[in-house]
Amino acid sequence: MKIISGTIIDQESTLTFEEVCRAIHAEDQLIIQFIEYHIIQPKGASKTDWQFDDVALKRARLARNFYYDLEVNFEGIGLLIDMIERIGALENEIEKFRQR
Amino acid sequence: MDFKDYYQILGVSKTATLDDIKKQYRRLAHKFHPDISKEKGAEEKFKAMKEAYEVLKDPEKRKAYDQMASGHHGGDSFTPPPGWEFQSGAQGHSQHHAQADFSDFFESLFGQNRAGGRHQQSFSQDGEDQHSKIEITLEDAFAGSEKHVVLSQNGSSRALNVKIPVGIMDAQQIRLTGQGSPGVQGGKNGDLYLEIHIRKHPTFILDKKDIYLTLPVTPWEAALGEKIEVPTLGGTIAFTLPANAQTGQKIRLKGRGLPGKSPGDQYATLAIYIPEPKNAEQKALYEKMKKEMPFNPRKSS
Repeated sequence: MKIISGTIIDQESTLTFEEVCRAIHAEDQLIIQFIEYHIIQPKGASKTDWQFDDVALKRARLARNFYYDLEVNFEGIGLLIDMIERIGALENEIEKFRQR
Repeated sequence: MDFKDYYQILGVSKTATLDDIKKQYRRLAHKFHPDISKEKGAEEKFKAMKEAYEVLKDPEKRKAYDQMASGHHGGDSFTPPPGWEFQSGAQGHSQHHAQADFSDFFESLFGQNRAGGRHQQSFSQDGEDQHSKIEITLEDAFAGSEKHVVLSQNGSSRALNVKIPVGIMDAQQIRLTGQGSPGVQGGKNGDLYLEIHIRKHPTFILDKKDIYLTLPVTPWEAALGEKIEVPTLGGTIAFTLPANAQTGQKIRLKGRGLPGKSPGDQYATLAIYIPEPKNAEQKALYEKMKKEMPFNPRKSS
């Protein structure tokens, strides 16, 4: 079977606004709201040069899921995602300590 | 296909009000949402709940379901009644539904692709992007590898071999152009986003691109600053300890973490292990040290 290669999304290989909308199945307006509420922060000054890296893509996907599944408002979504990231970082630290 | 008892799945009575249903869904969603929950099987449970909620929160769907459901029990074999027709007034949910991935039971009753629901499409439409997750080992991430991935696309499964690039980090996504849902009538294929999860390793702990490891050393290796062997993902390397090294001290092996444009480092935290004195002679060695090397690690300096 053929081996398929892809691109890692990171700070250099980013996605455009349209690509993010397609990737996470969200309408333009929803992503714009995420940006207005600082849930995701693309690089670039205006919509046409916005760039979304791996962190933005991951946060956008979570935000979309929470928006549809949990019936939380945008402030709540932002807070929830920040907390999830913090818990992840803490769990990693605990793991490092536990090994000793 | 099996009949689904949506009331049972959501844990509400058949007479529950819309408010009761909403409250119950919220309660369960907080517990089982796969992006939050650590419970086993949360993803499957949540999917079932979401489907049940989709029907029970919508008065039209709920009414149609109630009429059809009388006499059926969860798990019974089921086919939609002849002439089943459901036309919802509410539209504009299609984008949301597309990714929801509901059961055949739901699709046969309320889905857009149900038999007789929609006519054969005659205009071209691009396929949707897809998202999937795979688990790899830390060794896969370090050296790169190939992974067999099975996707569910339009109700059937498709297998592909994907190259895992060298140095990929946990939770990163690989974009595979044109490997998402196929386009219709000449439309472009969607892309596939493959999210990588690196499994926990028994020896090494990964943090972004850096590797952490606890390294046991003997008292004389630490005191004399001897050359020791350190395991790394790329194989064992020799390292000379600084003299008088202590437990908890970290040594940095530059560039020995995950490879990349700016490769990660490996940090080895030293842990000094003492040999257990097994006979009188060995005990005497400790006695000699006690006499000749007065030392109190509890005294603050």
